[in-house]
Amino acid sequence: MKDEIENQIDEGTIEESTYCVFKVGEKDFLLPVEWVREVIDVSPLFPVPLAPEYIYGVVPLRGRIVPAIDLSKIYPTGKPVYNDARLVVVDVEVGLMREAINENIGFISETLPYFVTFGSDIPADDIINVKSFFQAFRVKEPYYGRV
Amino acid sequence: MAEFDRSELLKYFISEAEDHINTLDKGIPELESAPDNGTLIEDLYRTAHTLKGAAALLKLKATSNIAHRMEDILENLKDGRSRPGSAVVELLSYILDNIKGLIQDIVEGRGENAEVEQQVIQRIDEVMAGEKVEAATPDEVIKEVPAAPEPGVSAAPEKRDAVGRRKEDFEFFSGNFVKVDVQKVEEMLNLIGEITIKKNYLLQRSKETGEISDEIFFAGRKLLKEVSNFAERYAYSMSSVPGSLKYIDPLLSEFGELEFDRYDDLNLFSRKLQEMTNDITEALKGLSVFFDSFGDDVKTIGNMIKLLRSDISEARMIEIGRLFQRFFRPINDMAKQYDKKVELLISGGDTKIDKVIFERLFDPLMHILRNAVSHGIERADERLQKGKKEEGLIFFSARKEGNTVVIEVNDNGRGIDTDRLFEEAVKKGLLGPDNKPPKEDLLSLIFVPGFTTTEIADMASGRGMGMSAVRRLVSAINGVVEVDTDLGWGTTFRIRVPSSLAITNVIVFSSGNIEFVLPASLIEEIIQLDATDAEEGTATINYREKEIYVKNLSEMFGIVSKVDKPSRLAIICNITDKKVALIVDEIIGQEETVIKPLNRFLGGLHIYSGTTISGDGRARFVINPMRIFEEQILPVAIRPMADEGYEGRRILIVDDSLSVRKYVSAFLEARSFKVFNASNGVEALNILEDTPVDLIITDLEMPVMHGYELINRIKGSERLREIPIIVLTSRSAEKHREKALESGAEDYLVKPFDEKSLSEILRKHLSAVDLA
Repeated sequence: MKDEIENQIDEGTIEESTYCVFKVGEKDFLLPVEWVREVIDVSPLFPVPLAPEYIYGVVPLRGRIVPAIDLSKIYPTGKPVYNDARLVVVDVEVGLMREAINENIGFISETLPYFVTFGSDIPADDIINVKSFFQAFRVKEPYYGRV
Repeated sequence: MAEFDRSELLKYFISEAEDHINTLDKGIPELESAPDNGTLIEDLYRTAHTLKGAAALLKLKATSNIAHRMEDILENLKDGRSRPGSAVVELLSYILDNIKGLIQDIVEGRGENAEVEQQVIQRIDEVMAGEKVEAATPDEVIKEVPAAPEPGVSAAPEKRDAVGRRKEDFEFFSGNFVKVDVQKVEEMLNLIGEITIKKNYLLQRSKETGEISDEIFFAGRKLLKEVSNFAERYAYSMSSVPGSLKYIDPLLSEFGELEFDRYDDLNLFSRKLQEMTNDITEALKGLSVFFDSFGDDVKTIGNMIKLLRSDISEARMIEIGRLFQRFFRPINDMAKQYDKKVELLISGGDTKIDKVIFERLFDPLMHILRNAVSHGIERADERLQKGKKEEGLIFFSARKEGNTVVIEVNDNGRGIDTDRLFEEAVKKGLLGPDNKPPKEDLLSLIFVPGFTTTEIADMASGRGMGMSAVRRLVSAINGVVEVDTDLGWGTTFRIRVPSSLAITNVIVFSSGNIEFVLPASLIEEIIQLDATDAEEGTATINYREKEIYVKNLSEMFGIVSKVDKPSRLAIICNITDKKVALIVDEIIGQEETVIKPLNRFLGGLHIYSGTTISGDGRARFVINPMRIFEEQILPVAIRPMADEGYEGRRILIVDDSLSVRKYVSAFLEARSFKVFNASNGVEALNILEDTPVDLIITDLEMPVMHGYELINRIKGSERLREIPIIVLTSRSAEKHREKALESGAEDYLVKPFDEKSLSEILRKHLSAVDLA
């Protein structure tokens, strides 16, 4: 199912699908609903010293931690207001070093996200392809901190 | 040489043997229908081999001999010297049945029945002799099959009956063992972690509620007192005659007789209040009794959870002897290969260690052992010349020290020549020729990646792994490697690892306002720094008359420390053979916790080796001191990475996805490339107009002008034609690849790509440019 959506995203031939819509600054981002695991409160949020700027912090979730990603530091969204922010936690299955792994990451949303079903006419760049996002923005090694 | 506890080992052997027997039981009948299944034969061969080895280790001669013959038969099949006809399959089943029988005897404490061995070997010889004839006349094999095994079929059950063994018996093999997936144990431990957190929360809440109840209790008593006073003040004796009233309140003296009705009401009200307050006080007393016992109950639950946790993590603990076992054969083989005589001695095999650590210790230990055999131990003649015993000794020992397990590999070989290390370091420009550091510092050079003397090169040759990798592997399980050598007399490697990964003893500390933890196994001690020691920017401090590296975590993280300099604390950590100091603001305490691996999204942040969640739900990162000081202790470690000779080379990335552009740019910029970006073919051509580049990486699907068109334009241009083009696309179909390569692209990489293949491609095409 996820792969199918991925292909659709790649080829830009989306039929009708449901998305989780969340807001950062002046921009709405979409996540295919199949990826979304849950939406939680961003607090308590714990800082991650030396992490790239777009990693806002980490949030504990069932004994593990989920990095909270601030998309405004990656895309031009305008200044976000995170007073009442939520974390959209997604399940990512990616291949890393020839090993299939399952990991959770979270995107910060200014407000409570909502779900919509869209036709194929929406612009494709607002949809986050979680797999390639993960590959592109995971902290690579060796990472000695931002300078 | 200390021996294993044999009965303990026997239990493991039986459990292990059951595995092998199951594999064989399942595989052997399959052979008949799939005689050409190479992997199956390989599997069976390996299983028989392992079984043989395990039995031999326990001196179960008959079992090991029979398994050995089974291995021979399977080896012949494996190498194609014979084919698995039904006679062979029959024979294998027969052997297996007898092995089962032998093991069953062992399980029941009867010991091996030596007669069985003779019978089985005899029969193997018979059948194998027949087999050779069969193999010579392949046409007849099929025909002969029903006839040939006849005696075997009838003979086998007879013999089994004679010693009272039936197939059903083998159900009882495993005795009191239950097999559980390690994953399952992990899940249970996770759950226990969660329960602990909830329990701590409950305890905390009950304390808070208890405090509230205490407050109410206190307020109740105050109220009662007030009410009593009030009642006393207005009390009048009903028995006393009106007129002789004792007025306390002068106001009351104004009361007329009739007003005593109201006074009566007041009196009644105060009595009621008194009663109610008494009731409340009683209830509160009850409540506080409940809270006392509730707190105790939660604490009891806490203790039970602790027990449960240690019981379950115990289930993951394995005797390290089982790891040592695995080295016997490779060491023997290697000794033969190098034409050396080596004896392996073991002690402390019953030391228990977490299964996860157990698995991850194999590679580093194997490497150390390999060094010991190939490099440490001398040839027999050399040893005799030196007046040593002809046979080299490798002594393998394990012992528990608190929450850590210390594993030592000691050889009595030639030792490491630190003078040669020094010469080499000088040659490499790592050290000045005039100041020779002490022996221990020189020794740590062997952990530097890429540092080789001829001897060390020989050690690591062809293995793809040097001592630096050993150190990395060990540090990944929060362990430490140390080395000690006595030139001419031998070398000792000492590995310290936590005995369990599931529950780790950690020190919790804070820097800035952030809490971190450090595994206690890495900590030497915690010291108070003098004002002079803690000067900002100093790289070293004096610790026990030695200069050691120091770093202030707050400074490193760029967070403001709240603590005055004179009162700073430093945690002295062991990183391999060195000590380093971490300056922290505050030591919060020590606790047992579950360390989870770092979220893979943060994988590159090597200064953390994992995360933990505190009892009240706070996330804390586990500091990996080795990585923090890597730059200091490994002067050459980072250099080879940066210096790939790409400085100033220019690359154009054409992709409509911002993330891909960002990612590839980051990758290239880290390698000193100058990177240009374009989001489609037209933009790319515009950039190429006035910017010379060495290489182009392009996507295929792009708006405005797609990749094929771009490739055609570039290849069609006299000026640009020579620039190599790499296609980077998510289209994995062969036809796209062909089309792209046909239009003139030099290489084709499918997204998501791994960094290694991109590196390789860059190396390939950029060196081509160099030549041209």
